[in-house]
Amino acid sequence: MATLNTVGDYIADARVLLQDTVADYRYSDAELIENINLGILEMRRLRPDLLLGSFASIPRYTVTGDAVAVDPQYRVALLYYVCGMAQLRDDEATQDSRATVFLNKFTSQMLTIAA
Amino acid sequence: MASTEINRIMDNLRIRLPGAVDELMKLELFNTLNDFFQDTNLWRVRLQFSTEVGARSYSLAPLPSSAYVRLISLIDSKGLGVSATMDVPGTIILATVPNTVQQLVAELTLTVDDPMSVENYPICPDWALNKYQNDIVDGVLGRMMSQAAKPYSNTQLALYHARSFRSAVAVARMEANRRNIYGAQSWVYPQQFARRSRGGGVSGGPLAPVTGDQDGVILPPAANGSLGEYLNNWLLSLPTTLPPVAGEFWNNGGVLSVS
Repeated sequence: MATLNTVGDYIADARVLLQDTVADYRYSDAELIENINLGILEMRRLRPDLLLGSFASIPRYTVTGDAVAVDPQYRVALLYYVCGMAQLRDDEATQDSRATVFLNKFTSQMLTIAA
Repeated sequence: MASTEINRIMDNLRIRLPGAVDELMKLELFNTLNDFFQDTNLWRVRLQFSTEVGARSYSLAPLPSSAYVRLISLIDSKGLGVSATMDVPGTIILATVPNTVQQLVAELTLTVDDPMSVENYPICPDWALNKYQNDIVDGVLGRMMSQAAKPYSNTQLALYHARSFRSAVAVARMEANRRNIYGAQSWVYPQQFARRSRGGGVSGGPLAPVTGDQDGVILPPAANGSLGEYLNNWLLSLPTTLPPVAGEFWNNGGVLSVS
């Protein structure tokens, strides 16, 4: 099982939560990679310590083989963010409440222990 | 590879700080050790150097992974105090211009500095980490828990740990002054009451490097193995471009001499 080391791992796990595992996909790789990059920016805002040493150049990922430099404790939180942002899209399969749950879970996992 | 003492401190911190990342704990560990060594005068080194006729200012060679904090004493080969100042850490300015070449021994306190270890840990004597381990953990916990909007933020516990750390610093400072001797007086013969006072002064001579000569220094008993191992590693890591440095480190009343 992937342990969320690379961009590809995040995309694969996000597709499971988004019920989008069969090609051709509702959410493209490019969209999900962009969500990862947005999530990194949110992590910088909420928890600057997670990007210690990278303040001058926030990491940006472009291909599925890129290793995502996030502490193991916060990889699941980033996965939730990717899913939440995907579900925010106006789509017949999208539920706003589900997007809210994912994004709230991301925020609470960033800031609290019991989340 | 990090020492056993560092690993134990980090494990203590990881357990008590759920959600904290290692890199931040290392940063706060550096800050805590810097506070600790600056406030306690615990980490000391003795350096011997030769004066030059007409030169009042002497720049000490920088030590790897440590920085000079303050000058504790400066004595000549007869053990008599020599008045001097160190306005800029590492630059000793004699109160009077020497008219002969003489060997002086400066005792200075150190604190942590760059470069860090390969694993980005501050480098300092293992014996200090071992003896004051719980106090250092308190210091890091106080700093970490006082940060805003973190899973481990806790104002009350931050205050508790910070106070424990400050108390420990006071105890460590006293022990350093007494050279870890139980029941000893809390002072050694104060240099301000020596034959000559530490007057102020302005550098009037060219800078000169410190020599590595240890001759003429009376050595207290040798230190234990862990510190010796630390010093050996430290000496091996000395840049070849620096002049040789001779030092003595105190360890629970003992001193290890290296040259």
